[in-house]
Parts: sequence; C-alpha cells; structure tokens
Amino acid sequence: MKKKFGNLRYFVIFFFIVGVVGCILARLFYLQVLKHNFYVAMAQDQHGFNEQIVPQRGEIFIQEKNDIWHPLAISRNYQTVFLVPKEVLDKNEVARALAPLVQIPEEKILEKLQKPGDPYEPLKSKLDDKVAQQIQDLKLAGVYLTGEQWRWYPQDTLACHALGFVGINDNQRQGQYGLEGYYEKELAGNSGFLKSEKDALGQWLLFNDYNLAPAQDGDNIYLTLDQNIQYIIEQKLKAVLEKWKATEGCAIVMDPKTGAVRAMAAFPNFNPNEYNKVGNINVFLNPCTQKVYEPGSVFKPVTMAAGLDTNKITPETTYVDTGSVKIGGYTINNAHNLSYGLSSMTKVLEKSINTGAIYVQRSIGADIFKNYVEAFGFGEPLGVDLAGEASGSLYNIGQNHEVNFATASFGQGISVTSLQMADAIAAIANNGKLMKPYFVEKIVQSDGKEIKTQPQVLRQVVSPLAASELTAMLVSTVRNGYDKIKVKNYFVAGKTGTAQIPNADKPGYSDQTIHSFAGYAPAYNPKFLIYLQMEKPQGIEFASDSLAPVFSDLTQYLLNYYEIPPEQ
Amino acid sequence: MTYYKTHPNSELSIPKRGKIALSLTIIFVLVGLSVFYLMQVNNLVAKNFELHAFQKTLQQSQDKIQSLTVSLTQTRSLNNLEQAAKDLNLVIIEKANYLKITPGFFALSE
Repeated sequence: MKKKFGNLRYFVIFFFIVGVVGCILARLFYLQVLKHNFYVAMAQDQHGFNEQIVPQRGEIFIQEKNDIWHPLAISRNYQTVFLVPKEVLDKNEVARALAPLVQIPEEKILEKLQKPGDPYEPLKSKLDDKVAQQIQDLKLAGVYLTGEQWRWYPQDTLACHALGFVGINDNQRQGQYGLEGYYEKELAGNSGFLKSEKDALGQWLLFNDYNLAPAQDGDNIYLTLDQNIQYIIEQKLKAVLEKWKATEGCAIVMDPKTGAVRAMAAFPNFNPNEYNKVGNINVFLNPCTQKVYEPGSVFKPVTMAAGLDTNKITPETTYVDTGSVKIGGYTINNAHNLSYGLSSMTKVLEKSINTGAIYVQRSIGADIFKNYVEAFGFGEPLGVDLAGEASGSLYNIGQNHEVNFATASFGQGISVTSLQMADAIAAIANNGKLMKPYFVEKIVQSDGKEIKTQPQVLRQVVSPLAASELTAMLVSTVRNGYDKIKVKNYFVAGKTGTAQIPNADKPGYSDQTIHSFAGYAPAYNPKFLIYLQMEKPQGIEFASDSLAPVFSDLTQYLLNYYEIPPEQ
Repeated sequence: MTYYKTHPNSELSIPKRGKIALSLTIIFVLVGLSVFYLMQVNNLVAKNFELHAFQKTLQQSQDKIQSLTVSLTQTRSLNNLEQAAKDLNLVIIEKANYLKITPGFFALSE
C-alpha cells in the first residue's frame, strides 16, 4: 500500500514538473517563435533609431543684368504652435493669452482644449518669428512650439504663374503648376536614412553597426527671367488691365535669338505663399501657356511669312481690296467694312486688311498654308519647361473647308497660346529660326555640378530673306500704322491683333474682343520681343490704341535697360 | 649516498612555471583588452556627444544663416526697393545719351 502511494506521489510530481516545463516551453514558443516579429520590432523601437533624412528642397533664383541672382523660392523654417490639452492647467487663461497672438478667436481655442486626454491639437503654422518668441515668453503649460519647413516666395506675387507653388498632394508636399511642378523631381531631391542605436534620451548613437544613407538635396534652379523686366512688365500690364477693365491678360518678354524667356506676367495673379486662400483654382492656370484663344490679326505676319517664303508674294505685290471676300455662302469683311482699293502687301499689314491675308493664303494654297502654320509651332506644345502647356487647336484647318483657311489667315477659327504666338513672331525676328522657349538658364546640383541649358532650334521655318523682308514690313507697320508707338531713333517691328471672342453657348462671335500686340527691337538685330494680350477690355476698340502705348513704354525701358544705342 | 634538501621554489618544475606565466599573460592580456575596450567605448560615447554638440552648433548656425538670408531677401525685395525709390524720389530713366567713340582717338594721361 505504502509503495503504491509512493509511486503515485512520484508520478504526480513528475507530471506536475513535466506540465510546468511544458507550459514554459509553450509560452517560450509563443513568445519567441509565433510573436518573434512583434517583439523584435518592440525591441528595435526601444533601442533602435530608424529615421528618414529629409532632403532640402532646391532653391529657385531669378537674375538681373550682370549675372546677379536673387532668390525667388526658398525653404524657410517657421514655427508651428500646438497644444497638449491634457497638460493645460487653466484653459481660459491659455485661450485668452493666445487668441490675439495667433489671431484665432478665444472660443475656437477653447474648443480645441475641451477634449479630455487629447495629446495633440495643432493651433497655427507658419508663425512669424516675433509671434513665436512672444508665445515662448508666455511659458504656458501645455503650449508648445515646433519648427517646420515651408516653401517661401520672398517676392510674393512676382512671376507667380511661371513659378507655381509647393502644395500638398496625398499628404506629401509637392510642386504644382509652373516651374515648381515641371521640375518637381530635380527640386525635391532624394531622401536618406539613418539606422542606428539610440540612447536613453532617444538621440541617435553611432555605436556598433549603423547604416547611414545621406539625403541628396534638391537641385538649385537659375532662371532666364530677369527680375527688373518681370517687375516692370507686371506693373504695366496691371495698369492697362485696370484702365480698360479687362478680365484677364498676359505679357511675355523673350530673347528671340535664344528662346530664353525674360519675363512672363499674367493677371489675375496670386500669392504662392498663400495659395490656399485662392477661391477659384483657375487662377493658378497660366494664361500664357495653359489657356488658348483666337489670336486675330497678330497672326497675319505668319500668313505673310508663308507667302514670302514660297515666293508667291513680295512686299510690293498688289491686289485690289473691295472690302470683302465671298467664299461659299460666307462673306468675310474687313474691320469696320472698310475697303482700301489697290493695296500692297506692306499696306495689308499696316492697315491690317483681312482680305489681304485671305489673298496671300489663297495664293499659296490650303495644304502649304497649313504646313507653314504647323511649322511655326501651332497645334502642338512647344515643349517649354512649365507644367501643363496647352497645344492649341488647328482643328478647323484640318477640315478642308475653304472658308476656314480664309479666316485662319487673319487668326480667327484657330486657337493658340500666347507663348506659341510670341514664339512664332520671334522666329520671324530670328531669321526664320523657331527656337524652343525655355525658363531655366542652369541647374546646379547638390554636388556642385552645373548643367547649362543650350538654346535649341526647333526648325528653320522660313528663309532668312523672307524673315528679313517681313521684318521690314513690320517696321513699316509700326511707323505708318501705330501713331501711339513713340520710340524714336530705333527700328521697331510690330503688329497688333484685335480678335473677336466666339460665343460660349452658340455658333458665331460675341462683341467682346481680345487685344494683342507682338513686337521686337531693334528690328534688324533683335535683343527682345514683347508680347502683350488683354481679354475683354471695355470702352476701347483696337489694340493699336490700348496696347500700343504699353508696348512703346516697355520698348523704351528695355532699350535703356540693355543699353542699346540709337540706330538712327 | 648523499641526499640534498631542495629549495622550496625549486619544487615547481619548468613546465609548471610556464603554465603560470601563460595564465598570467592571458589574464594581463584580458585585463588589457578590457581596459582598451572600455577606453574605446568611452571614446566612442564621447565622440557621439561631441557629434551631437557639433550638430546642434551646425543647426544653430544654419538657422542664423537662414534668418540673415530671409532678412536680406526681404530688404532687397522689389516691393521694398520700390518704396525706397519712392521715398528717395528716384525716377525711371527715360532718355539715355550715348557717347560716340571715334576709332583711333583716346585720352593720354600725363
């Protein structure tokens, strides 16, 4: 009996120990095998340091004469104030003290403080340094400041459409519109990381093995834009738009020999520092490159260039203008139904005679005319380095209706961007060579490597002889056609356009117009081209009255700015 | 037959003495390595602290540079310059006279 119980005790103890050991092993298996990843991650979190290194976004610089550069877009540290409501001792006092500094009503701050146990409530970002210091001096419990980098545009609205801005997309900061959007990859740089141990305070400790991949900062971009020209052109454009109560307008200054854009202005504009305050996002669209319009008579030099290049006309070629042309069932008239009788091609440009443009188009034929229009860069993007460039439309002259070709010859029935129109006129100024417009003079990478943009010839559209003959005709146009251009002692070439705006809801055209002006100087060795455009001006009929004086002022300014001595 | 009492030290045979020497050497080497290890760890920790301090200084300097850049940029901004030009009654050049230089003529200084 005794032996029997003795064995039982032995077995009980044995199975008890086996059970306990089994439980321990099972628990160890659970912790070390099944939950392996979880505990490794927890341990890593406790003593490991794994952080992404954010690269510095590249800066954008604008130039002025003599290779002087000024920042146009840089990254700047701002203070952000946030609350930890559970640490706030006197909610009313905190709300009362902060309200005037952050300019948020007391009630709203109190609302944020009411959530019990809330560990984080952001209050206001991009604080002024002075305000941040004042908040810090208050030493309020539960009120903290933290540094945060934001894009800063020191010149506010200057060149805003060309620049674009850095906005938030999918919780990521990203360049949008303009140069910020186009050069996002170059400006953003590449993130790095640091994987190491950390000390009791949570700071990295470069102990044992650590893994460091440094961040690659974004490239710095140096623009072809000149800040003085940009500023003056914005001032002049704004003034003329206000004067004639126009809804929208844009202006471009470029170097016709290289395609470098020296200024690009548009209104209505916006402040990229406060892009989130803009109600209508259409304001972000660049009217010079992202909106299309029917150019009107400013297009006539393109038709004339085709006529001269094919030798179908010369500047002295004449025809008899009767004031209108009948094509199919349509009658096309000159402006104000005027007729000029026997007219030379030079006179066609001077008086902006529609029937003259039709005469040239018919002389060269539909297919050849279309080829020239395409060769001048219309109907497809020019490839400028701005986000979202529009292509315009040559749909009407693809339909093979004679009347469409006739109206296209004086710039109606086709749509173009202002930049396309400016570049086409620049090709005439540049001995018939169409250049690719560009905004970036050089890119300097984070390692100091410099990449300079080389001007690019897209194609030779017309012969140098045809271009030079046309320039002489355009000089004559300025001298004899526009009495409001008063640039003495220089040869200046130019042409206006006053285009009708098509109805939005029905066929035909409204009474509203788009005024434009393209001109360059000195005409036979051009240093700059100016293109101006204004939409729906009120109380003025022709661009020769509205935009010619602005062109005149800008031309005089640029001749002085570039120190170009008189030619005559 | 004559017997001599040996010296107590001489009781250790040569191989035994060698073992002790080896043990002592190992102990010294281990102690030495430990000390060296501690020194290196201490050095590394000190370097880490130094690195943190340098990083802090760098950050402060960068903040200062940025602050100066911001201030300079604001001062040189076109809006600011325009205001300054107005205050000083400056005007835009409207007419420039260019000197004609005749080839072959130049001034000589004494």
